[in-house]
Amino acid sequence: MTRLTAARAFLLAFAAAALSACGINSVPTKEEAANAAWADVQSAYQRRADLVPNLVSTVRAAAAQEEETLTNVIQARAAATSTQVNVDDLSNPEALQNYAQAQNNLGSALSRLMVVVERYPELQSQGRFADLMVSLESTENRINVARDRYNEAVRDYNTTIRTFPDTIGANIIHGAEPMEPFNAAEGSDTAPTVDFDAGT
Amino acid sequence: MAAVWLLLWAATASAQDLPAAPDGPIYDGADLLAAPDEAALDRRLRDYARTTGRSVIVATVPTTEGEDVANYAFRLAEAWNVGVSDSEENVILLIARDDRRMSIQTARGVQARLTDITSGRIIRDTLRPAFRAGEFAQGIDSAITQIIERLDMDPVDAEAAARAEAAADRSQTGEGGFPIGGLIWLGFIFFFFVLPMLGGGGRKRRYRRRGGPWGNAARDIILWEAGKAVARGLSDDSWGGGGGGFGGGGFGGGGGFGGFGGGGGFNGGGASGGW
Repeated sequence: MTRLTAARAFLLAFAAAALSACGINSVPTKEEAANAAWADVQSAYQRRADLVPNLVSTVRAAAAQEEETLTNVIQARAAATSTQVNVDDLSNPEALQNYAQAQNNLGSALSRLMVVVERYPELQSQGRFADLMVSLESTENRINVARDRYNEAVRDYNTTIRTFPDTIGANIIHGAEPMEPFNAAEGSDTAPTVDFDAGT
Repeated sequence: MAAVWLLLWAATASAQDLPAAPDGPIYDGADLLAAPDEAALDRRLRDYARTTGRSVIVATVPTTEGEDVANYAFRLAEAWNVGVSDSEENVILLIARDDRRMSIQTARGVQARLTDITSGRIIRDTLRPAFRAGEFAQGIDSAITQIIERLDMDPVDAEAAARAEAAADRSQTGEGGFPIGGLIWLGFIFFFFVLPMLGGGGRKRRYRRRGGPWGNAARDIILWEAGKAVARGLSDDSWGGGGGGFGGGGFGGGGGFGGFGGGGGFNGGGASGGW
């Protein structure tokens, strides 16, 4: 009986020790950290999308004949805001790819607009336009920071669910799937060049 | 408060080319400030940090070596772990002398007051004209005045106090929270492990001799394991009712990443420009 008790007690103690070390806590913790980082990425992109109407109306007032470029920006913005990635889809490379694509289209439409407005010195000298440029530039910085932090959080999470001992809990208890890093597709690493010094 | 200006030098790989953190609010690597000006500004920023808990850092470097000035300033803030409070009210002003570029980077806690647009205006309307005239000390001084003016503005009391309270609440529950998880472990171990052992020992006394030295050794090991498990349960912060003592600003220890970003709350917000 003693041996049976001992064996049972040993198993229990072992299970207790193992459970608290096998990822039952660390996996969801890191998953939530990555989800939160993704929320930051989306809100940074949303911030950029929110700037677009203001930017478009300011540019249109000074450069109405650039209607085509402006329309492209508006369309790209509409497409970008209608593509969202739920946190449940973060393991799905296709969803992230679509999102990146939509945002990159908006990014390149904006860069084309920036090229066009170079031709309008009166626009460049407007304080309101300069303010918008500052907002756009810092928003691009926010996007980069949020993206880096998301990728870092994903890397940490993926490492956790693939390494011992957390991988036990990740597979048996949580059924954790690796998350996808947010790969900036071609062209997206060239953020719109914003140079508000040009006119002054 | 003595620790206010102890900025941590995080020797991360990406930060190796950055200058080491200064022991004050000013790093004048490009020698733009004369000694008396620097001392005056230093005293002013120290006093401001002491009374308000907000860090305003001025850094000058000869060049960013081709790197975008905003990015450089952001990395500097992360590497120096600028920040003294959980409310993440930190600002860094970076000037790259030979590149003729400058950047104001703001942390989340101040972005409602010192908006990107305001930072941009300070750069355009104050710093640029002064720097073009070669008046570095005077330009920096009036820019700092404007930054502090903005930081002291209206929503400060309400918002910052609310933030500080929330942060205090967070760390309180983290540190003083009752370790329910640990108690559950203790109860679990007691009912399923200690009780059966004691009961078994009492009822089946005649088996005791047979157990002999082996039983004792096994029991010791088991007790040790159980103790470890209990200790782990108590110390594991998730069981202990959630951490939080280490969140937010201050000495995050390397400005890592995560849902709440780096230690000082910098997230890329701010503005930059040239002269």
